[in-house]
Amino acid sequence: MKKLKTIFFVVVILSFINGCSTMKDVSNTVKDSLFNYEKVKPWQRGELAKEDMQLVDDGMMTYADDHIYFSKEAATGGKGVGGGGCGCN
Amino acid sequence: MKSIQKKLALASCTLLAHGVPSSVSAEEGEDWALDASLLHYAEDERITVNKFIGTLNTNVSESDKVKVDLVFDTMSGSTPSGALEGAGSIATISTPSGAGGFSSSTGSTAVANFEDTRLGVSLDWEHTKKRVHRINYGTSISVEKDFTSFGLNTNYAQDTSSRIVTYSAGVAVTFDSVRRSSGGTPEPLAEYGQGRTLGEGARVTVDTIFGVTRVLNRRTLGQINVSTGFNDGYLTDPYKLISRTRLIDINNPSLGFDETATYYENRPSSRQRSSVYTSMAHTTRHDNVLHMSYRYYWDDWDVVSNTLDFRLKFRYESGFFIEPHFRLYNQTAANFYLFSIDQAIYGVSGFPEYASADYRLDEFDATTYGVNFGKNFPGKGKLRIRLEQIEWNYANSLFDTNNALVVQVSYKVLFE
Repeated sequence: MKKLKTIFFVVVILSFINGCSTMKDVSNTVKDSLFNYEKVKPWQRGELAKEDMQLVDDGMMTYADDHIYFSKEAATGGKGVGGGGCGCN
Repeated sequence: MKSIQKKLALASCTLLAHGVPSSVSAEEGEDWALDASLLHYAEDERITVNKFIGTLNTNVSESDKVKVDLVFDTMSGSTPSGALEGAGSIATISTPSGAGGFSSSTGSTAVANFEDTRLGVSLDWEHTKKRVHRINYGTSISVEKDFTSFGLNTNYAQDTSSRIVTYSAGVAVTFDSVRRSSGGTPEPLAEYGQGRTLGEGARVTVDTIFGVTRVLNRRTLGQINVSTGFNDGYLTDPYKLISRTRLIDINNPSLGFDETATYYENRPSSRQRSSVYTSMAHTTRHDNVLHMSYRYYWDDWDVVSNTLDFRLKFRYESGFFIEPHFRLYNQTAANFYLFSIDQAIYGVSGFPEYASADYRLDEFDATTYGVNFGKNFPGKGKLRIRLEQIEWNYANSLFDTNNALVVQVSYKVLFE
């Protein structure tokens, strides 16, 4: 398991390096996302239309996570309602 | 040209999909989308789950979409029962070979073995009216050897005329039936292996959600949901146990304690849950995508939790992507959680009204870290692979840590 943790952090570091000025990107994110309100026109929504920008962008991952965490944690819900339950152990 | 028209239509209408969390969508304007996934979940020397998930989305008309989900799980391994180790010669809940359910393999009741399968099917239908109103109806059924669930849900979303804001509301009702694989449920707080076997446990769950999704700017979406839920009925776990303990030497507590008896647990028959959930998706200046969410949860069992989730997707022109993922979770213990029924407090035969030693009701924190990667095939599909590690640290439970490895491979095919 320690190997996996090491791999994770190596991947994170490499991803950031590979993303060129990604650290600057991250620092700009707070300013761009939270303090930059604008009335977006329909023709300005090209980026928002991409699948990656959906708030649930990968239904398979979300579905699996919901099952895992529902079966392991006392807190549930928040994203939506519906779906089948399980008698998880 | 047709493709461009579809993308433009999607660009102007995509917000419709945000307000209703369980909305259906045939991505990228294609008529059909088939998504299939295999997941392997393995805890250290505990539970192993192999899961298949299949989802089919289709546009049945200009204003109607249908989604069908199929889930099949196989689950096996062992799980902490709540009782302490070294319980001595206690009868086991044995089941016919291969029939599933729990059994004690070592004479100790601390860990119980189990084996089960689960089949789940759900169906969703979404109807769009005048481009700004959307309503979704869904139903689901899930069957295991010791558990059956049937649910109905509906969600409604409405955009403002500018389509900057989407308001949504949803309600779901779920009917569950719980039993041991050998049938029935144990009498609460009866001694393990003794007491009466009662009928199946039934419970009803009603969940509601209200949400607001807003376009913050041309690269950022934000959402806030307020949820409440109510469970009524059998909320006890028919397999979980709790031990009665006494100090080995009352004058020398450092010698520890031993177990004098083992009982089935007992939980309240109702639960009121609430949460506030916020999430954000943002495309950075270098075309990477950040997903962040935070949930604050509380209930009348006195469980309070915080969940923070963070993903940053690095996208490349070749269609390849890599996405580190980090999640933090913590919770307080339920107000009836006990490590054991302490003889010094409850005597040799007294009981609290409710008692559970289920590790999931203990105070604990959990950390998930991992990475998703894959490749987009524009107009054709998408391959995703994820590798994650989950670590739990419990405050009081007999087994104070747990680890799990999650491997998931998914592939989506788009076709007309």
